[in-house]
Amino acid sequence: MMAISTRRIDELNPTTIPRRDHAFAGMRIGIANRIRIEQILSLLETEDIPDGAVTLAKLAADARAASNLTFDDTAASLGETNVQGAIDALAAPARVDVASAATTNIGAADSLDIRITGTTTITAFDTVAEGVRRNVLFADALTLTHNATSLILPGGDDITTAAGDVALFRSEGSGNWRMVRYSRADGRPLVGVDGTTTITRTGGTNSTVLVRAIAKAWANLNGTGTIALRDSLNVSSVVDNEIGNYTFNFTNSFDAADYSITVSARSVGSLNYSNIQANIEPTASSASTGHFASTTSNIDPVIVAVDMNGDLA
Amino acid sequence: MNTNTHLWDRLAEARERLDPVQSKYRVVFEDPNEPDAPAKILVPDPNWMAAALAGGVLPPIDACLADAAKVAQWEQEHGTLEGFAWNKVGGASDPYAEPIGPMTEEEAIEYLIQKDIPERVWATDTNRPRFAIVPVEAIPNDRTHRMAWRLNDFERSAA
Repeated sequence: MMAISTRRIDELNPTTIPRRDHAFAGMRIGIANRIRIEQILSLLETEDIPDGAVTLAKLAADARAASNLTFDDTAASLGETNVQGAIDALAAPARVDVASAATTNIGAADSLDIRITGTTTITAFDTVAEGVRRNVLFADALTLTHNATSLILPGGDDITTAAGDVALFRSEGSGNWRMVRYSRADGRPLVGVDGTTTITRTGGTNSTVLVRAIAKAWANLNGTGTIALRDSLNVSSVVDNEIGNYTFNFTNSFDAADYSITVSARSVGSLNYSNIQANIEPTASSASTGHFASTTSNIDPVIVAVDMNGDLA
Repeated sequence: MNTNTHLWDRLAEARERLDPVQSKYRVVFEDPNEPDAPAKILVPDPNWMAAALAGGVLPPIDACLADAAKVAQWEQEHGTLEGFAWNKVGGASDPYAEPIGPMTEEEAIEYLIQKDIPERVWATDTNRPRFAIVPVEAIPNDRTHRMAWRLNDFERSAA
């Protein structure tokens, strides 16, 4: 058995580690590296190693059997060797397909980069040494079932994948894996606001709902011509009271009339200012805005934008 | 324990899920408390209308009317709505209450009249009507004379 546990890579016999330019291109750059030898070994154990570097795979297998030592060094001690460059070069093998199964064999796959096909629910991965990592691309929608020991997922919940989602898994040994990263193809976060569902609720029933900072009602109104709302949230109707005077009615009332109202407007005419309508008091269920060309004349803006923040009833 | 979704959450989800519906109706009304004011025009919100037509989002109109009665009672007792808060009047209707099913557009307009127009406009028997449901085409696009609009200008086109 070849012992490399205390030797630096640049001390290895050059006849057993051919310095192929393409494989070790990055080794000429001396930058600090602090890496676990396990990480190197998992890379070296792939079968798809460039010609001439096969000895490294054997070396890695022997070393793994011998120990689980760490390689902790700096560029100074490595001379001009950049280990990361070697890793990058050796990690080049093409992505391979692995069919989804209850226990999906990503550890035994012939590449670091794996595409999981099919829609079978995954509850576990195969057993490989601790520290082995796999980059996974999901080709289809399937369910990853969280397990606090054997398949640890962020947030502790199951994940429904979509085509194009990517993940990084790290083996913790004994058939246990942890998801280190997950990125959805559509950019949505894994946990949090996902566009259609929920934000963690605070407070009890009928009290403060959702995050206090978000707008509980907003609207964009075209105040010209046959006036109409362009878009809104929590608004049931708008009343056109007169020129430049509109009342926004809410579907879900605020808990009192002291919520915050922000008014802005755009007009092609001589809009001077917009405000909360002076002669119509805000209520828990409605708020009115006024828009003025001067102190004595109102104007209908092309855009009336209102935003209400506060606690709901 | 009530397991329904909060009203605000239902509205937010409906907005994501449903295409907005611009109503083909408007409601023209005059407030007896403002005899010199021009006619007012109630414009349904497109997202609200989509939720009304789909069902499963909005609370029963009875809940809205009960809330309005509490507000009116407070205003009558205090002469103003300043200082009003739901916790001073026993709370608003339960936002987790079972939502109502789908409505037709006409039923939705009737719901909206009761919810968003003062009761003194629609619930009082008078010699002349104080509101009219009209097709949207009956509302002038030219607002030059907006401050002179009166209800009787629209009654002939009432839907």
